[in-house]
Amino acid sequence: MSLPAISIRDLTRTFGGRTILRGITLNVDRGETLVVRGKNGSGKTTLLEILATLLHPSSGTVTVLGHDVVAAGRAVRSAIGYAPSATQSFYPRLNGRQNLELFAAAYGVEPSALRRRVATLLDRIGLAGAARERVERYSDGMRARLSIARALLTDAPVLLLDEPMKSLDAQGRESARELIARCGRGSRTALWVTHDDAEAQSLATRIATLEDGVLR
Amino acid sequence: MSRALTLMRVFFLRDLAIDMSYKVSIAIEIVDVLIGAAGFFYLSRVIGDRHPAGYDAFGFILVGVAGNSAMTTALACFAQAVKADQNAGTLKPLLVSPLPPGAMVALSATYPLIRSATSAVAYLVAGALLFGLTGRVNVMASLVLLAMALGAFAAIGFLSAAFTLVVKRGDPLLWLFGVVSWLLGGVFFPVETLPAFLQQVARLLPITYALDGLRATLLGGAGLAAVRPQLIVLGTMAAIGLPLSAALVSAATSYGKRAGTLGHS
Repeated sequence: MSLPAISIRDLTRTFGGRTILRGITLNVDRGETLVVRGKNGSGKTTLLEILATLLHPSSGTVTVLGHDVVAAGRAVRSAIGYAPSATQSFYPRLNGRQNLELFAAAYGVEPSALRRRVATLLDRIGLAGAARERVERYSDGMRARLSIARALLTDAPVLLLDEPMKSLDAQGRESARELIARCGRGSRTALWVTHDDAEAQSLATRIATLEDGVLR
Repeated sequence: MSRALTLMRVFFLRDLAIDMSYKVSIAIEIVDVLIGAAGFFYLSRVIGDRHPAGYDAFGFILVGVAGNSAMTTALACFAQAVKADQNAGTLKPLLVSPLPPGAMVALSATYPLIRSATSAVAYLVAGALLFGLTGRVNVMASLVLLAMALGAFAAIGFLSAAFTLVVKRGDPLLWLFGVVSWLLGGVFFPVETLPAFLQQVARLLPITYALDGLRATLLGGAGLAAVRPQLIVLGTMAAIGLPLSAALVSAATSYGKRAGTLGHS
């Protein structure tokens, strides 16, 4: 039996005296799309940031493709595509193309393929026409699409998506869903967090619910 | 193009594009250099025929100011880059890259370091073209010395980036270091005019060696062999300081991941 893509064992995270995640244990198999739903403040973003190596667990172990998020952070980062929840995660005075090219280089996209990869993704998310516009002029929905494109830059086998569709209209949601599905059908693992039940139902191969830091 | 060059190119172009998006930024810098050079020219005329450390007073001051300007940028640019990424919300997406945190911070300094070196050269060119600054310039020795000096300054600037990652504020020690360097490092007057104990303090500062060497190569035509002592001190400071500071940036990032404060601005 192959290792799960994501393995979480007895994960707890506290900030000061406040416990945000309590004893989470979870496996996500390769190729699976797990949607973790929960209200605001339930610990969804904290869980995703631990998987993205941006936070260390207070206790417990977390691995991505067998790599520990603390001891082998670099290997984990090479294996993930990450879309953070904040729409303010781009350089506002650079255009969409410049932003994606910078992150593509930082994420290790081959220099010879970089421009083509960025152009392809901008086209697929419907931002080719706005590629030369500064991001400060983008709507929240356009930024959300750009964030999804950034997560897809490297064809990473594991996607971590933090409410990537919350600023999108119905049409934008549909095309984002299609794009993510098309880019990784059958092989890519996705852990997707949302507070939207309908979104969870439409995306997931499995749904888990996070409530006050406890997985149910 | 290799991966390292591509990274330097995209980080350089990022900051160039941001800088150019503020239309008056370059114009203000040019005016600043011209007014600065004019001010120091007239200040040097007050000094008259005295020759500080054997150099023409205008040249002595202008090299001091240009070197100090390069140092100030190199000290501040790393922390400013971290702060800018915290404010823009881009720090976390960058830290999700496989790049080590130290490399990410160093890449962010590519543009400011090149711009500060250009600004230093602009001071000297303005002095020569507009105010009759003369000197025998050894270009190769000057460039090598400037690179070594920026390496030594950058080691301290890197430390400040680590500080900013942890406390989210500017580093008061960096400010103190800048002020002490400005006062004791021979920017406006030779170190030899200071009391003996302050001269000992000055010998601990990289700017003292940088300005000694740059005046010799830019005004006296000295070659690499003549400035070897300064190159050895600056090179040693850079060789010890840069890896140490990069390790501290990594440690500061780990601290931020434990404390959960990385993205805070």
